Amino acid sequence: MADPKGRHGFGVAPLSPDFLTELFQDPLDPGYADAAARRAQGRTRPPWQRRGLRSLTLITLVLVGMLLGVACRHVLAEEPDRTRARAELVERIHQREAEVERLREISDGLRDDVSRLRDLALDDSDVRRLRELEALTGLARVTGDGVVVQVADGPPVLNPTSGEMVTDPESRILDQDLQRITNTLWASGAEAIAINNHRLTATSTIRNASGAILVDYVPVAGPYEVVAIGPGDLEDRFAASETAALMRMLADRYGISYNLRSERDLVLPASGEPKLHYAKPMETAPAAPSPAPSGGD
Amino acid sequence: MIAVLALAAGVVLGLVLEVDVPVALQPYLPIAVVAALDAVFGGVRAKLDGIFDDKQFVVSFISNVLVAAFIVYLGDQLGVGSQLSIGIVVVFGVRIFGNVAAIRRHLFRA
Repeated sequence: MADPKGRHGFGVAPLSPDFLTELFQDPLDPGYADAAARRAQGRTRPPWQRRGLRSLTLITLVLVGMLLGVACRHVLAEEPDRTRARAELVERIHQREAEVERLREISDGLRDDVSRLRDLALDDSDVRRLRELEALTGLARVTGDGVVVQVADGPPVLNPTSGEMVTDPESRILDQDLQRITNTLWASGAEAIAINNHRLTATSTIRNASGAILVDYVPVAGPYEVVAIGPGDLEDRFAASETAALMRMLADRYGISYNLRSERDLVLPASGEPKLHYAKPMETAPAAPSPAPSGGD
Repeated sequence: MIAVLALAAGVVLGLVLEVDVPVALQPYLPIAVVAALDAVFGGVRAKLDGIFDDKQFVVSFISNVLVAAFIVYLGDQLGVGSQLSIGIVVVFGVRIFGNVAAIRRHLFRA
């Protein structure tokens, strides 16, 4: 500052080696000091130029103000957009879920009609055999005594960084937990299992998709209720299993909730129609002579 | 006084006029705002120091905004846009802070 001319010269204090230190010590643009020094030397601008620059300054200030205003409006406009988009998606999901529910009811009704008509057409022993097979494969509703295994995520805790109430990932129920529970139930003699009223079949899947658990590609939310129909000692057998021990340990250590109880007259819904992905039904009429080897001689 | 009025008029214009920022320019808006604030606070401080210069102010505003936007653009192309944005915000932030401190000393003698 003592030598204003020096700033224009080459090599004389071009940039201090420690740019940040200079930035902290003297945040003002050095150009102002230069201009002041020029004025002090008597090199003033002619009046017309000064007026022109003065109006340029005002225009610049208007521009700055506009920039601030536009940015402000932009920020204000963005937030509701985001929440609106989210709300719209949530609503659409609910709509579709309701539609699925409605269609499922229709399909259940139609399936009842089909089985009634089929019962009329078939004789009693065939009907009984069919019913049993349907119950086993999960195509029909079943009722009986069994157990209810209830598991749920641990209680949400205050996250110290975000200040939100969130469930600790360690105390979350995972797809593996549900897989373990159902596998143990099958192994303990269960004949029909449903998770949150979603019946499991031989081809059912329990999977994880970014934090959500999908049972047969349908998301289920906690608390999870695994209902199984099986022999009278199902509860004891399950309670004695490794899985039950693991669940008790998880409940003790990580705070998940786990509850096992026997219940009478449980009703499990039918699962959806099984889908064939690769095989195709043969289109031969049943009356035609079948070339199948099982037909026998 | 006229300067404050001009600034206020600009804010009102920006809020009232439905200026549509092109999507391509939207990432540069926050950086441009910070750069403009730096120019404004620098100007106010220079005014209080008694060394305000119109040409210096106009040039510093335009070059601040353009250079900041260019650096962010370059960073975006190189894949380090967010890091360079942080650098720009830090530099301008420090300068704004220092200038505001100087303005405060001028106004309150403290």
